[in-house]
Amino acid sequence: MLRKRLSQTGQFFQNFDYILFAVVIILIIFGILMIHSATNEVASLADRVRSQIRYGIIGAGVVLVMAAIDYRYLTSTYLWIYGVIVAILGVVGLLGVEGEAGAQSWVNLGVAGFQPSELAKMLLIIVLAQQLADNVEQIGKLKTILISLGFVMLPVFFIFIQPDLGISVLVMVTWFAMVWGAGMRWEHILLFVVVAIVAMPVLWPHMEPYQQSRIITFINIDADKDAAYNIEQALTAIGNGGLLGRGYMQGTQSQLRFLRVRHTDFIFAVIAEELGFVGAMLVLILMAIVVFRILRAARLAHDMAGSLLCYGVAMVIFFQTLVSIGMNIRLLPVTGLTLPFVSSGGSSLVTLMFGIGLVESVVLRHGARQP
Amino acid sequence: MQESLNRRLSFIGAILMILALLAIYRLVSLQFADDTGYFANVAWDEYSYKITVHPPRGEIYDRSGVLLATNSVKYEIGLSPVLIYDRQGTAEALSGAMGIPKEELLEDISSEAPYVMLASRASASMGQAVLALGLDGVAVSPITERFYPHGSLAAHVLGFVARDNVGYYGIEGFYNNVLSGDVSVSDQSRIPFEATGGEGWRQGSTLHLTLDSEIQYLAENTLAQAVHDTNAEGGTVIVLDPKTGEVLAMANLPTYDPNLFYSQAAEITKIFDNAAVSKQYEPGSVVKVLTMAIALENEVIRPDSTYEDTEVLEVGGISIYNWDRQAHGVTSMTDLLGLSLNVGAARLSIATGPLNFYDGLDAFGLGKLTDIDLQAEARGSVRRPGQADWYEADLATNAFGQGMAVTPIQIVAAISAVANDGLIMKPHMVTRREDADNTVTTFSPTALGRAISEQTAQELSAMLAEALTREASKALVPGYTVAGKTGTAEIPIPGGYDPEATITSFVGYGPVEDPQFVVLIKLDRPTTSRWGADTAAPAFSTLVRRLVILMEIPPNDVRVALEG
Repeated sequence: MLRKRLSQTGQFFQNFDYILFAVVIILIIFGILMIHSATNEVASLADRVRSQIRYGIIGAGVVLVMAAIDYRYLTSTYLWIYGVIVAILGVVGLLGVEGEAGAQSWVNLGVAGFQPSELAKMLLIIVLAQQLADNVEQIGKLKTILISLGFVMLPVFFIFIQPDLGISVLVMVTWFAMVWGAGMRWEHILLFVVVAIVAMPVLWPHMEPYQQSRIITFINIDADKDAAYNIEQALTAIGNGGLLGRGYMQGTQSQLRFLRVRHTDFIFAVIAEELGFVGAMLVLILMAIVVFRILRAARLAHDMAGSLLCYGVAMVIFFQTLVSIGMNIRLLPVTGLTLPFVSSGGSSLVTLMFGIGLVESVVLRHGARQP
Repeated sequence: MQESLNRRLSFIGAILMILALLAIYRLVSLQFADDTGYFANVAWDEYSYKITVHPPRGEIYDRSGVLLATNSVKYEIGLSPVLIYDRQGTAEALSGAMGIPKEELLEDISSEAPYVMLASRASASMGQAVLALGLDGVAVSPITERFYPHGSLAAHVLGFVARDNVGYYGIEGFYNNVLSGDVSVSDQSRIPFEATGGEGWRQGSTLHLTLDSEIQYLAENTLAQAVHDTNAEGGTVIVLDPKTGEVLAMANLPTYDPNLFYSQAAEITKIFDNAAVSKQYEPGSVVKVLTMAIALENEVIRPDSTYEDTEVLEVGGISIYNWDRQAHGVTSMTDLLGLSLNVGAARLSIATGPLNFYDGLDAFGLGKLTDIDLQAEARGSVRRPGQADWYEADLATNAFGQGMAVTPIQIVAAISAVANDGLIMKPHMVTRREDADNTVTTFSPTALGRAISEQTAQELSAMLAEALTREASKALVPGYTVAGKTGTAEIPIPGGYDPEATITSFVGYGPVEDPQFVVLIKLDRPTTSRWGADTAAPAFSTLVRRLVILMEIPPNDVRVALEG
């Protein structure tokens, strides 16, 4: 088998989605330029650009490596992967170090801090893809849905108590999209919507104060001074962008540091201020190309697990983009989710590239059905 | 089943598009629908700040170029928390330079305030030390503070400049607009590439006063000595050039140091008042000079006239007595002045008649502003016939300076008319103004008006000088002929006069042949004697003995010898 694959290496990359790969690389480079602008002349953030370049290169390597590995090795061992996810997340509470937001979501891996919840988010897609593909005949039964829900609830619980509300919600939304894609019945969807609405007041007291404040702030922007300040600054930055922006590295809100966490949470505001509507649309279009190329891979996929895998990755990237931009333009609450590929952050970037690698792995092997 | 998934993928694709369009719609409405410029204003408000640039305040010099008021540099130090990224480093550096505990600074840096003031008046050395640190978000702005090199010298003439950069009292108050120049208020950007300049900035003008700091010093010393010797509560001294109206010295006691104006307790801010122009008092017998002048001018009497002095004079239902309650018999006009007889003065005003008498007082400027260029001049008041509160008796009592309120500067101006051949020169403080653009404005003497004829003035001068000599006044100055009159005024209190206290004064001028100065000395509530002749007159003599040296006025014999 190994010999056969090696002999195929010449044509191996002929199905590789170069457009997807190229657009992702463009987004990363664009991100690096914007991070440079956002952290310009800030001593404490001086290493962010170099770090992002390093992780960008690592990420590109990860894509190629993952593309070379047959995704079916991963999906077939999904229970092992699941065990690893739960184990890592469980250990975070013991080994976790203080992250930027004060959450215990970083594990110190000796060289660099790494966010296990970021990795878990992508690994769970593999688990869900195979678990749902295995049970796709019984998808109409509520029991199947509940078992699948059980699979995600355990890691989500660990992520939630870290606490990382943003990724918890992202994982739940991804799960919901995946079970729906797998063929969940409309009445069940309705049922979950009702349960979710009922669950909110139950979960509320268990949320961290900052999470509560983020939701309150979204409803009433003046409730939390800090969050309201951040959103007001982002809106001001975006509102001053106009068509072409104030010019690269010339945004007043960004350069004068009125905008906080601008290299991560509010990178979109920096783009919209300095490069204007054109820059913001460029990001949206590139992101749309990424999502639609991944959805294309989902259609082409050779099996149900591969389709769901791609579909899950697309959903993660789309929702994370939507939530991040939505937060910047005050459509959605402040969740701390970053803009995929663009925001500063090694864990997020490498994890997303891992996801792209999975998609490439799927798309590379669709020829098994369509030679 | 993958067929079903593919169908659902198309559906999800559509939903994604709708959500994306919603985000784009929002983006468009934020970036293009901003007609009102709301976000532009928010941003501008944040990265701009108003700068009020105070130009250096004009300096004040005396007539010979002695610096009386100038500026020193202090620094305002503050920080803008949002602009500080390296909190620990900034706090540490500032703590070292300013001696504020680091914890306190960290608290300031972490605050929500857009600006935290650390020091409003830091010393030049501290300000420069912080400036040298070059810290982001730490503002060090130089501010000028008024400095008076001679401390309390001429404090009441100068006034002071408060922390709002506004001058109060005296010259600082009166000429505030001239001295302060024009501040420029401009929106400044925190972004170097958007820096805007301020417009309308104009440096303050320099003022040269008529004041002579040596005479001022002499006047202040003499006053302090007189207040001390007579155990008075305070006093006022004015030295004026009768030919020009230039004020050579002006001082009051008690006084203060304008450098430390803020150390004065709130309840005694009256100490800032320049009593020489702001404080009204009842002038007393000094007015007999004017009564005599008016009578002479109206030819009611002649210099050699006499009258029969009586013990008492009944006028309008009141009895008028002389100070010694004696009848002096046949008395000359000169003795009327020398002995300061109330009965005689009342006889003169009655003989002059109310119309001419009050027109005369008006011509001398009593109860009218002199329009001296000092802040807060009081008007005084002289009631006239026809006014509801004027009584017939007032015609008599006004003749010797009772029942009226005047200011020291009014009395000096009125007496200067006698010294200056009948012409009252407008008292003034500033001789020259130099604007920042080198425009020089010179203030030439102007006449307020003629009070009496030249002849009357000269006749009266001679009588006053003779009167002082005859009574061997303590105001006499060896070697010089001086003219003048004492005044002892009672202090009006509710329901009458204070039986204990008086305001004593002496107004005189000299040399009578060619008057160069008018001096008023006024002492409030002296306790060693209640008479002007014993308190103010000797102080006049002391002052003039030194004044003639400073002004290089030759004694009579030298002058006669020189004139050959």
